[in-house]
Amino acid sequence: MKRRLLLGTSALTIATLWVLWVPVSFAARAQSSSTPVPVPTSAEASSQCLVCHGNPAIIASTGEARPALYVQLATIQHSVHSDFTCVTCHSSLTASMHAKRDAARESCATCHKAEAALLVQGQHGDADAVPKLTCVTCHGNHAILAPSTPEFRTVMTEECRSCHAEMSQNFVSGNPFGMETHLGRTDVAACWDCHTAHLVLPVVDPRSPVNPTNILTTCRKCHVNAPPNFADIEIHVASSPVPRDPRLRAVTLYMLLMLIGTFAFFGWHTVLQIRHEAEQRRKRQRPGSIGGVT
Amino acid sequence: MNTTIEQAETRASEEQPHVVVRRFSAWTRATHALLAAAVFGLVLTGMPLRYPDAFWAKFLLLIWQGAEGAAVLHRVFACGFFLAAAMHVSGVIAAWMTGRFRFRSILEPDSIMLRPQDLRNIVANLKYLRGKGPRPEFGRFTYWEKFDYIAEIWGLLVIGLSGLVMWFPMKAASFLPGWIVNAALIFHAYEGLLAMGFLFSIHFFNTHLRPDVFPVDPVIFSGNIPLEEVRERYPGWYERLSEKGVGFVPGRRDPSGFAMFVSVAYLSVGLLTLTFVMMDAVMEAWKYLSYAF
Repeated sequence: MKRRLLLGTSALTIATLWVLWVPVSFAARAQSSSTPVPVPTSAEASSQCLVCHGNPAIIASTGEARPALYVQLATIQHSVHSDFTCVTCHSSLTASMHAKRDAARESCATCHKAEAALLVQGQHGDADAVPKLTCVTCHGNHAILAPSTPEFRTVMTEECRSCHAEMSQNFVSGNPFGMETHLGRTDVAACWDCHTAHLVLPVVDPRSPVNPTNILTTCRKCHVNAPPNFADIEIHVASSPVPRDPRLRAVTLYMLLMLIGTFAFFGWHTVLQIRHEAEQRRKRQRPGSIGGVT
Repeated sequence: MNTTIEQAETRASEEQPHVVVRRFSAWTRATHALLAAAVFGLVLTGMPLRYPDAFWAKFLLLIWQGAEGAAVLHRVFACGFFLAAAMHVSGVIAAWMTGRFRFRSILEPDSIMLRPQDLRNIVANLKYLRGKGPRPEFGRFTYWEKFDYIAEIWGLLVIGLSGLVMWFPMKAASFLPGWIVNAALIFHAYEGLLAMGFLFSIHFFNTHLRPDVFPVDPVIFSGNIPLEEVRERYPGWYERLSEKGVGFVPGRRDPSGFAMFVSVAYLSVGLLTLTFVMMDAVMEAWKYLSYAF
């Protein structure tokens, strides 16, 4: 009896210790396997930079207004790169303090190699474009959002719009998808879900996902069983403000005529009717009220 | 159960102050109630998508928990809308099976379907309203009341089918060309505006807000219409009822307090929505005009 009690207690203790040890060991393994990010005495280094760059007065310090010089600590803390120091990206600053080119735009590629390589192959990577597009043109600099967040989808949709204004407007007004994106819905397709984010190619390029030969495949990324006609649905309905497509223009004009015709006739009719009825009531009431006797 | 006018009037003077005529069955009134509720839900969840940048749209979307919530509720109310249509069709079939309705009767003067006489009545009534002739001998339904009914069927087809095409675009595209899905949005957007504008202004004022019954025509709650009103408004129907001597029952005319409360709430919300939406519709119209000229 006594032996059994001793055996049971020790078995339970060993099991408990093992259960407690498992997550600790996993955490230790995870920590040891992750590549060490260069983190040189981070807080200290960054706070040195922010002594000047965290002061809003720096904007006017060079004689001309340069808002980009002012960096708020809160902005960085909100970024997915909040654990970086300034020089993690502004890497050439270590070599020569305040060099003209601080290498920040090129430093994204240090980690995001694949995306940077795709970008230069597409239209957005055109080296001769003025101004030249870089990672930060769309992703911003100090407040980098994680692609998995709803906020990222909303902000990036706005980024696309800042250049492709007409296309964005046609997207919003042309289909329920676009409307809901415009209203902040983040679980529907946004620009880059069809057009791709980094390798942006002209429509005529056979590699482009929106090339006529590839559109159905692109639709089927989400609408798995989409029938062939599905690819013919226009996602950006060009309007100015009546749709330019003659069939859709005919539908719009027909509905406008119905709308105007119905309201013109029945509006007039209702006014006549109400006026007449009010008049009849007045006539009916007058003899009684004048006579004063009922 | 049916009595002659004289019998009903005698009984009415003894028991109750009014003689009334049966105009809407309980089933019809329930259909109207469901339809009204569905239309209000559809307007309040759909219009924020029609004019997404309006200040009232933002307020409504707060209530519906954003575009997702509005989208879900819009489909729920659409089911109510389809259910109302199904109630009407099944009511007609049930009435036909029990012999209370014959399909031949849609050609008769008291039918709700359009007849050549209605076209003559339009011309005659427009003369009458401007004091240039006698009032036409309307049957059970005047031409504007028939328009309410027929516009409802037409509206259900246009807005219901275009809505279904957008709800199930993959099914639609499997047997329709792709541009039809784009056309469906245009049909839906304008038919929604047309239906809302028509119901919240023309139907409200023609039926409920006219001086004689302000603020609501009780007939849609009681189903009964006072005999003197039939005599005045639907003389043709009155004559035919008198000949047959059927359908007169003594009864109550005033709607209950609850019914009044519900109607006044509906009418106020409707008129308020109409005002807000119209502000944006006018701005949209201005955009079209500046494009055209």
